[in-house]
Amino acid sequence: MACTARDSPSAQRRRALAGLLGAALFVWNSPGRAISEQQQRERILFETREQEAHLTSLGLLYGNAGLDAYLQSVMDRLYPERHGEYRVRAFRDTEFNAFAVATGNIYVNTGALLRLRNEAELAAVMGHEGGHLVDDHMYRGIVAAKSVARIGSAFTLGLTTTLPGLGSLVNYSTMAGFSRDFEREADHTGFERLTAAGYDPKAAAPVFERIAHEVSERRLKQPPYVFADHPKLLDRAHTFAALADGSHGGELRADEFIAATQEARIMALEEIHEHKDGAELIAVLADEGVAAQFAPAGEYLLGEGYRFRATDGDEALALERYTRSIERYPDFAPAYGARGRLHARRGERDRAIADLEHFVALAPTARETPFARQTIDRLKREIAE
Amino acid sequence: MTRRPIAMLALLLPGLACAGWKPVDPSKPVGPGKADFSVLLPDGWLYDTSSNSLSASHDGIGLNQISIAITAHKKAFKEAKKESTPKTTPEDLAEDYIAELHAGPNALNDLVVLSNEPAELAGKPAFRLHLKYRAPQSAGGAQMESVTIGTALETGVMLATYQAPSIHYFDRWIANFDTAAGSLSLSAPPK
Repeated sequence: MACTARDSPSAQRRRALAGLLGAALFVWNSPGRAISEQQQRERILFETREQEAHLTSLGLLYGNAGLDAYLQSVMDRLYPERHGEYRVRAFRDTEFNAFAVATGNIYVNTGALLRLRNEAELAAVMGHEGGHLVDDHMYRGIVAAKSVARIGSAFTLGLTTTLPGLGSLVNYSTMAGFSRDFEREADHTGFERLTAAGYDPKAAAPVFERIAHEVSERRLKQPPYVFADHPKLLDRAHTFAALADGSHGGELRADEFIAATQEARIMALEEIHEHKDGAELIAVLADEGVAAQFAPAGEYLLGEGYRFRATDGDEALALERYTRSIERYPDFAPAYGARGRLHARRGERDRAIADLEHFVALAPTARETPFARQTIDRLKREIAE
Repeated sequence: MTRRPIAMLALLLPGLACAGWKPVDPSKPVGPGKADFSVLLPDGWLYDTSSNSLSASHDGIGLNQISIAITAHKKAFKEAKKESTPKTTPEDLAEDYIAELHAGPNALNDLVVLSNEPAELAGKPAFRLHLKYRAPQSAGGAQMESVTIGTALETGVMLATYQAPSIHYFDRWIANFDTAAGSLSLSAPPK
């Protein structure tokens, strides 16, 4: 087995995204602030392109042409007059986020795809990001010189730890005022595009409700930037619900969304499992019916979420999920292994042996199998003694 | 030998000399007075049992070190906010140990798990983890490797660890560590 440290890829991401923000600061702080609009725009584009090349060189793009084409098709449906101008790509990051940059490129995290339920929800997110672009927020932010939300609309997550001092600037400068206006403007543009493209306008509100719930459950200090906390997440959900009230429906395209994104969603889920982030696994999978979307692993991974979180009552919840997994997918080995280990921890020897033997029979060459055999031997010895 | 290890050796060896380190008698099991375990250490090493744990080194603790300790279940994985029990399986224990190495202000840099397999320690089922990581920049930033063998006891988690720079030192003494770990027993050293 070989696994890299959890913080390496995320640190890379933070550094790369910090670079994008740094490019914005460079443009803002440079002596040439009095240059013409065209020169200013060219400088912004130059710096942003450099940082995007860096993102690519770090291997942070998901890099699946089929998925990128699907995301692009949704964007082109939302902004047909910008067909091909706003380029969308999947970004390898497990957080619920998306961001746009001044070059007209939009990056959608695999973690966002994991948490969205249908194409209409994806369109709500991308419509918002496209709104930042079409409303020229990056340039307007720079020339106003009051905010650092310039080149990217959505990339402060983690910057406070990467660039000490900058975090304060982001959070406590006049950015908040500008961003509130910009976010509202992007929300409205996005919503208009969502409905004009024939998507169900009711799809937008649940996205904000879901992220608000996750932010609360995971006790995140700040929400993912696409869902910036100004205006408040739930206020935005209510605004979207009110806007959609009385609408005549539209397309959700859940099947098409799942078919196009499932591989990336599963990868994001596996990455969260590898990070052993229990709260995040629970946030993603605990809603009714979501675990079943990731059959046969979903129920087992939700059980793992409870095991990793390990707060009061979580052991029982983990046991329940492992058992449900075994009942529904009796040939899925990891659930037996996990339940067997849990029984062993509780001193339930016979049950542990039965589960672990089942695991070994189903997965004789798995990485965990030697440990399962070790535990079986120990428990049998203890029973004999 | 590069200049950096030589410089480290020069810095560390006087430290060993001052800290109550004693030469190993390879025929005599040793262990800290306050912990109930003893082990036969490799010939030519120095060891220290002045705390609740045992430390041993041949060339200086930055260059090769064996450490053995029993830590209470509540404290063993404090940074990772995990608590083990006497019933924790070696597989779970290894997972908690890795989480601990990733957590807190002293988290290891660029940690890679090279292998994780069942083992025995003091006659008990254990895990054996072979890791690679980078030493902090303040300690030279060298590429390091370690092997830790761990097991859950009634009194706590017992971890026996050997760590050394990958270049030159790790391979040179790993067999000695495995031999020493194989001699570990859960009894106080003879007086």
